[in-house]
Amino acid sequence: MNNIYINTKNNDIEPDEDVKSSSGRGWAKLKRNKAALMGGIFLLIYIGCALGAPILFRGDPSAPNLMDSLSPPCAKYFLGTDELGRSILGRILYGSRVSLMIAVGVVGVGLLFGVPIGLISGYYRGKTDFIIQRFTDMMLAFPGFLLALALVAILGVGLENTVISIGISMVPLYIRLVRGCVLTIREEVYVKAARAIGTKDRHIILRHILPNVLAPITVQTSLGMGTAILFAAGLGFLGIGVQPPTPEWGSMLGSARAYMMGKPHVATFPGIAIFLAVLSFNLLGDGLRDAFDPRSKI
Amino acid sequence: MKVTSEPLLSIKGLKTSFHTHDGTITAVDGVDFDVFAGETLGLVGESGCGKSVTALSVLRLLNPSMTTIRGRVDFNGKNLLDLDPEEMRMIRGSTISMIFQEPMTSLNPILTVGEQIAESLRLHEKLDNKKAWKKAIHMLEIVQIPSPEIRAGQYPHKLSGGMRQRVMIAMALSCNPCLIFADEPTTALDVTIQAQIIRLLEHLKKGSNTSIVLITHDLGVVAQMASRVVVMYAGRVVEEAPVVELFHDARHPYTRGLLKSIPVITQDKKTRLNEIPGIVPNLLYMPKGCSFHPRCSEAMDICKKESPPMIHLKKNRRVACWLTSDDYGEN
Repeated sequence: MNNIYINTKNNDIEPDEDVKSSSGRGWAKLKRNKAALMGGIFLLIYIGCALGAPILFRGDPSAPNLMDSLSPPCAKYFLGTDELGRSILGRILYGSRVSLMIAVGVVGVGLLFGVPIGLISGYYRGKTDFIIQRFTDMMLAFPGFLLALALVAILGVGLENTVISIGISMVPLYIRLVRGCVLTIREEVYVKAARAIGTKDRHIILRHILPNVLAPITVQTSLGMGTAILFAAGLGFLGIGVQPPTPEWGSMLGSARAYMMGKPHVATFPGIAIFLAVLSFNLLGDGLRDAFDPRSKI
Repeated sequence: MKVTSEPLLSIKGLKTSFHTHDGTITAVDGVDFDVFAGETLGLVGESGCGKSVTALSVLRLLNPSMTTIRGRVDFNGKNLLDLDPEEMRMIRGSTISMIFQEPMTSLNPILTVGEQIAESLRLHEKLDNKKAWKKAIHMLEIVQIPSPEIRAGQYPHKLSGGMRQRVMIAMALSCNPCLIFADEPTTALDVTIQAQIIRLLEHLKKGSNTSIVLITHDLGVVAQMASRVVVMYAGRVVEEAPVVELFHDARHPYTRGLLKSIPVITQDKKTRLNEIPGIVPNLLYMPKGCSFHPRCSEAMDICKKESPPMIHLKKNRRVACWLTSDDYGEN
């Protein structure tokens, strides 16, 4: 908005055109943070690869070609081939689609359950809060990956079950995060003021509280996507994640284990892909946290 | 002023206790007073004497899992303490409103001020978005905010403290309530703005039959606005009087102490300002007898043993002090 100076006779007006909104300041801080910027650029490349995989790589990434098996990087196979002669480049490109889908799906499941439950738990307090929190304690008692493993054991392997398992293992984190924020915000005078004019609880939660917890949720979402990719790769590596022949980075690593000594490129490139994807989410997440955390003064 | 004999709000034996880890604290202990239609009642006392808790108890804005409210709060023939939460919610904002003391934090930073005023209009008057927005702009005009159309679309950080308090007043007034609790509406503002806000409240009150319960520790504000004053100390009413009588003939030593501690501009610079010695007693360890006796310069033996009875001197004039009791005998 343009600066509007109001000609007024009242003396209790301070035209404060220099004051940016807190989110505006946050973005400015984020742009200055080089690491976060790099994370963002990697992330764009990653998303670009996922979306443009069919253009960037022509052919079927899952079709075996045993004549060229375990070929080192060359002009035909830019990153070499795996034990079935499939192009590693192609599988990494198509694998980025799978891992991105997993990342989005997992965080989606986490948000879908974690945010509403956290809002209710923090806003209503009392018995509801107690029950939800003890349940959360129980889930947090397991390390996240172990919980995901256990859930896969119950639900079975495959892309969907991988997403659901890792997603559920992340729900308690969101519950805790959101509840903690709600506990502070519900004590704000504006929440009391909203109640004093008779605003409905649902309305207070959705319009007054939720928007104020979006910043920490955004940070957790970015970091959570990194973790989700890592967990999915872990499950894939153990052979209980996304099943072959679907190209998935973790299972690529898993099958490359046997050729680690002789043909290190088979394991190296998917490893780098996982590393860069997770790194980009983490750098961006850290940057977002620094930018939106009111306590950090960068 | 149109003051009818039937009170609009009648608080009887209101007792609010907080359950804390250290024990149960009774912040409001048997408060009763009436508010008549169209009047401004001053509720006066030091910080922590239970003024705000009284207002929050009436509106039932305290967390029910941590507080117990007893007594009666009769409003329009209904005991507010018996209503179910949904009925109570409909009363808040439409017939009873509240203005809070911190204008800097009582507006949501992420909603425009217009939206925040429109919220209660949509809720209670069932206006659609467009009409509610129009009325919100009109309300900003009523509270004398210049360029209301532009201001309505701005976020609270663009407004100064005085303007935000005006917005709060606009929010409180938007559904024409019969009763407004104004909890220290001028405390967080500087003196010139205080005067403006008080003039605004007076001006707005003249135009309607709204009653205001003005909660404050500033006796200057009370003198200017209120017609009747209730003085509270440590969760109890210690004195009630019409405003002129209170300033000329305060009966309770606490009220007299409060009046003496107002700085006078003509006072010699070297003279120390009068103060009431000591602090408000810890509500967990209330003194025996009259709760004010440890700080009272006129305390007698009986004050340390028994709490004084409420003595009704005449209509709208009562005091809880053994001194008065002696003057008037034990009746």
